[in-house]
Amino acid sequence: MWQEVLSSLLHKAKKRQTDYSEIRVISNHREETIMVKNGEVEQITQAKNVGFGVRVLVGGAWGFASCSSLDIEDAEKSLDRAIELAKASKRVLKQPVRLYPVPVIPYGRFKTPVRIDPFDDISLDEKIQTLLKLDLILKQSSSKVNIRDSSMTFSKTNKIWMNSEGSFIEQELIESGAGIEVLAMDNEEVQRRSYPNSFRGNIGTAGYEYIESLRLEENAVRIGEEAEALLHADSCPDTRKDLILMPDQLCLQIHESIGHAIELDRIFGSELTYAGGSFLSEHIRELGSFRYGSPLLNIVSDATLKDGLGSFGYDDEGVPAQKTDIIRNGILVGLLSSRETSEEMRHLNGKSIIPNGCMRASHSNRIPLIRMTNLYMEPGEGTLNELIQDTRDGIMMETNLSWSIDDLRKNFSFGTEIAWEIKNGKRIRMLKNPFYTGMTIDFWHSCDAVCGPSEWKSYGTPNCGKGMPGQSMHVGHGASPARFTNVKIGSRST
Amino acid sequence: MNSNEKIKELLAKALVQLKNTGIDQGEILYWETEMGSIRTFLNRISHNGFSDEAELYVSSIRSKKMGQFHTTDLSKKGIEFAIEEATNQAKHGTPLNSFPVLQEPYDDGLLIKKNYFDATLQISPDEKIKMIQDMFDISRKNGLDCSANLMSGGGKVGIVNTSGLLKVTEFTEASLNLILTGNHTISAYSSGSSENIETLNMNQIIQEAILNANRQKLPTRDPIDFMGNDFCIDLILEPYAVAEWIEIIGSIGLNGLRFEEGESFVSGKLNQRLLGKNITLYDDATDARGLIVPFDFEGVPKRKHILFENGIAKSACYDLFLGEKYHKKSTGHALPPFERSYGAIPRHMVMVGGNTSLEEMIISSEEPTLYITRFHYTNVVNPKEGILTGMTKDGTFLIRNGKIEGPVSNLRYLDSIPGALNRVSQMGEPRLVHDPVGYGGLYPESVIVPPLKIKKVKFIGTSRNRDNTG
Repeated sequence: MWQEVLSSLLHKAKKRQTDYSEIRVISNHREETIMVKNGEVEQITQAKNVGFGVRVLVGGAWGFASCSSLDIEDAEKSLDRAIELAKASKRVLKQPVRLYPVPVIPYGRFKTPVRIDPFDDISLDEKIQTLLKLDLILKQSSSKVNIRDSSMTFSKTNKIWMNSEGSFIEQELIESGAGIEVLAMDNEEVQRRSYPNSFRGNIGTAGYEYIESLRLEENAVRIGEEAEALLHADSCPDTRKDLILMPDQLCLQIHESIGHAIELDRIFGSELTYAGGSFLSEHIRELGSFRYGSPLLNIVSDATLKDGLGSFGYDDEGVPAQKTDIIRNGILVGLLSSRETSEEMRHLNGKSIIPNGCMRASHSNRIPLIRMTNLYMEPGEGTLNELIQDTRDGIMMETNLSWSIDDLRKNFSFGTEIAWEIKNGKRIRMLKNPFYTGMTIDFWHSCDAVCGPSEWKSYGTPNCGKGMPGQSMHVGHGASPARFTNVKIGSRST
Repeated sequence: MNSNEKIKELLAKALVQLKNTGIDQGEILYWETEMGSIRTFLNRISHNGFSDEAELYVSSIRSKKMGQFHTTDLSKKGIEFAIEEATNQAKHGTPLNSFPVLQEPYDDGLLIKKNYFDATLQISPDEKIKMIQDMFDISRKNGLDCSANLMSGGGKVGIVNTSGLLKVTEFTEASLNLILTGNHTISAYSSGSSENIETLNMNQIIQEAILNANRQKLPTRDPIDFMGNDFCIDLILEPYAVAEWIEIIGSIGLNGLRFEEGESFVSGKLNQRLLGKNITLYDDATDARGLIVPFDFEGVPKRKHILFENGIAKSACYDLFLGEKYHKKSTGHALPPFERSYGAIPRHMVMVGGNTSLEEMIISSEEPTLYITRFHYTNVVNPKEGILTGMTKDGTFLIRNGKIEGPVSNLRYLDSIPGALNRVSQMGEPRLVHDPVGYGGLYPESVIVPPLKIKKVKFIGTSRNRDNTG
């Protein structure tokens, strides 16, 4: 049904002298979130959203319009509006947009592989009971735990996409996630612990089986006990020494200091009014030779990663999901690119970057932007225990609590929930309020050890902000624990 | 957009359907926006878009259990489905220990000023492109490249509940924020907004950024060269920078949820002096200087709410649910229904100012002082102590001997903001600051703050040198 409807709209667009047009339909986006706090089901929310987004090129200028209904008349109005806006933009055109050619997908179909559909195969009551059980375990974990949060979140998106070049794609994307979190208090001291990650846990493109794989029950007692122990732990010292980052924190380090820096639209300046630029603008002609980090640093962008939150079948330009090398043995070899930026790059220095399937829009009412997919660090070798044994004097940090980075992605600082001091190959004490700061290139150059595949973990980041109007995108990351030398470390407390 | 009468009709009809499901209480929120946005970078247009959206939130309460459903499908079938699903959810879960009575009807107060202008909705794509063209031309004449975001549109929010409340409000808004860049190192920011696009003073906004850019034409220095690695220095903050701090202080410190759960720097310290005597801070969504809104997302009327008076902590912010749970009254700070778990946050903060101009602050600076236009990526490092970190951005200057000596590279601060607000030595006249990133880009929220001069704020690094952090 949709193929006919969209064909007809695209045909109308063509008759009105558009160079290119595409229509994205969210025919059904469902969401469910359940939150349990201190033994009460605090909030159950569900959503069903629909809408059209229409993007056109007229004389090399973009126009976009959207509506939040599935009414074809509304979609036609959106098409008219998008053409009108593109024609207006054409008046101040500096250089016409050209799109890098990509293969036509006559009929593309993708469905997130799931074993247990989180909407159809599991009742709301079962989800609630699981969360209440977790809450009870958290309650029993420590008398100092005052606030307990357990939550689950699910979504299912049916998306249809068609363009004027003859591609037609249908996708069903399913996400599942859950997390637990406690706040322990003693007089003025407050400490937080979360599992499997902070800010409501971990999330992936998967079914309810993903929730079962998170081993929430097994870890509930531990985080309660750690939160209590942190109340009496020593503060992280102000120092400069070796830093081991556990995968949950390292993933955010990758996100902020590599992921955003390699977005080619940012590099060209299109995010200047909000998210900022990239220090790589100065190095754009050094692709293939620019040393980003130590030879141990290998980063790939992979939208095909199983369970990765940035996994899908096709991006919102109809480019198939793919795996792309970004940094190989420390050298920058790839960037995240759209059809527009790939073409611009080709004109800039003749170097070709094939559009690598990372143009995504958060909703039908937003334009696609270059977004991370699953950007991960490939594992090295050895276990975490071996890495600790190999560390003479260092600090190991886990679970993000705070993050900040400058507008060109150079100077960063992160705080984590917990840390441990390592002396002569052993963890000797827990440390509270850890914090570290540094400069992107120096930091990645200082990477001198990366643990092996057995320690590798992936995490979803469901709140990656970009664009105006703003878009919050779901992306994924992965890493094994890694060590960085001579890092500036301190306390989050005065 | 739908007329107010049509929205009221839709809400009233939906409420009848909701009541027929046998609920104890229920609420339906309607939210419609029509927004146009043009985004440019380096004198090029990257995006020219328009969105037309309407959505409904249904909250169904039965035996102290609540279900909530959100939909953009406002067809007859779509609304029926939303009501049915919200009601079904309310059969599950555990009863909440405390449950408020939803907002009862009240007489409308007079809105302080008109906040809905047809001109903002009716401006044509060609007229907006003309504004963009003019900005490009002025920028080029000054040897600068213009990256800007021009947004215009309007919205309507309607609420109906089983306590008998039925209200609709409407608003329009036009905003422009821009960054002028040039010569590799220059980056200058300014922004402005108005309910009426005809009074959005584009020329004033761009001239403010040009003044900032011109100050950056001298060579940029790295403060570490003359201040050392970690250092404390006096600051002069433009209202953009002050607004960022104040907004975050509001969301972590004065959010009733954070306050009651013990994670705020204000927790357990009401009626104590936590800020300097010269700091009075309140929230007022009806302040005529700001972007105004008459009620919150539970329909509770907005009013002036004192947060700090002469440095003494007076109150946090509550919605109906938080208020009921902690035996406080709603202060009219409910967030949209799906954001309730984030607490109740002041979105229209006002800081009482003084009468020292920025020029006077500069001239009276005997100690080395940094002049900061705004911050980038400020985040909370320690909520209990109010410690924030972030980078300076778009114009950071060194003042020595009462004069701006020249630009310096961007710096990272790490300090307690309540602590810094104990060291405010001079204050200027407050102004409206509104950077349209909240709620997807269009909702009347704003901050009214003065420029401040603050003694000895801690910095821990810069963005210029390689590994200058230690």
